Amino acid sequence: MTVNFDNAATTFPKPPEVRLAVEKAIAWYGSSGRGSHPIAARGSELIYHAREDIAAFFDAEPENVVFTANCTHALNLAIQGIAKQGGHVIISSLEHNSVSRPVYALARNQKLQYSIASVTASASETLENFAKLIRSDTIAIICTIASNVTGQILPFREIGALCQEKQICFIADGAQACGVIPVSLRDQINILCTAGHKGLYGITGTGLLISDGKYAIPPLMQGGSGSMSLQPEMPDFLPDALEAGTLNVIGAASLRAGVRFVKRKGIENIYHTEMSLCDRFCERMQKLPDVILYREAGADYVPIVSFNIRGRQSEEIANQLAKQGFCLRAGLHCAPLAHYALHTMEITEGAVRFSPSVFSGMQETDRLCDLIKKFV
Amino acid sequence: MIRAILPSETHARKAQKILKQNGYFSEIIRVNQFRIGCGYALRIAGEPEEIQMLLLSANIPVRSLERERDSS
Repeated sequence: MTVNFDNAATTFPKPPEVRLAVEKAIAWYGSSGRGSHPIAARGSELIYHAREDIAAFFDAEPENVVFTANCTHALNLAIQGIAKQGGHVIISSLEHNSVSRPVYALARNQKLQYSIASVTASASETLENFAKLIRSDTIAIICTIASNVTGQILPFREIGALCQEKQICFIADGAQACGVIPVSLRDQINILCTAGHKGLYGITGTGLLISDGKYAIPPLMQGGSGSMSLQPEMPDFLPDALEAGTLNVIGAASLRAGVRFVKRKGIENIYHTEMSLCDRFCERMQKLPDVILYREAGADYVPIVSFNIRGRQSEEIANQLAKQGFCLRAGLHCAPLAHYALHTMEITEGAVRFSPSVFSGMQETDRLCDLIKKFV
Repeated sequence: MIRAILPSETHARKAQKILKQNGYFSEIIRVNQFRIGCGYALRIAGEPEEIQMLLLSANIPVRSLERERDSS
């Protein structure tokens, strides 16, 4: 039997209601925003209801909910859009490549300058590290809410308040946080980017950019929007400005069902279910002297735990676990900055990541721990 | 009937919901706007001033709002 502990990549399995929503969408919906005939109208209605439900979940307005292909797509829209004006941005030392690569590419082309704020176990120290990097030309802080490697939660609400005070844009990457901890535009996030297929339980190929409308985001792609078609430029209003081409109606249907599932289950229940598995995992791993756990006292975490075994390559451990049916991700997790910060490069060039979902169980967690114990 | 032209289908659907909450039933139609192209409008039975007020107070950008010509 296969057990998925790689839910930080994509939650699997999906809730039954998500599967049903996908089946219904294939059978029932056409494109959206492309006509007034019944098939298109049904698609448009579904898309609007999805925007409404997602907006309510994040305390946003429906028209400021933009459907994207994934979180990377949303982050590229936000980062490249905001960077049009040039200037300086600050990212954290735990960023995924979906933040660091677009920033680096803009810097290499001399369109942007950037600094990296060190994240420590202390929220106040981390906040101070961000604050002291702010310059007169700083236009934004772009950072993850929770690391996809360690699960560490950054003091994102305080960072939001800092950005508000300094009148700079706050772009937050919610890929590992949304659906697991409460995240809202009321946290003074100007642009929230997130995946639809992780903690929100939609299908792959779904992501979201949710704006508070304060910062204009020029489009990266041009094309059909179903509105203002005679004009040579894209419309200048959301969501049409950033949604060139036919929308992923089936994905939006799945994401709506996923968000409703999370609401019904309750974020607190989801968090406690998954954290209890992480706590058990950590408790058992701490008893093994050769296991290195990337957790620090004083820090807060989403349900993700990374670890290494001294003298063993992370990929080798993950391969051995996979042979026994346990799916965990090893290596760099597309987040080399975080691995440099954790010094895993000096040990095994990466780490093994344990990330449960609300469908994971204690028995499977114990079986995994038993197996790792045999490796040590 | 009043015809309210709105920037997008999303705005049209949001406006429709707000009007419904205030007792106005409306129909979303696609329209072709002069020199702009595809757009969306709401057809509503009611007083233009009150409808405009409701939409503006909900921060819905109304491009134009006018009485439809009698086609009889």
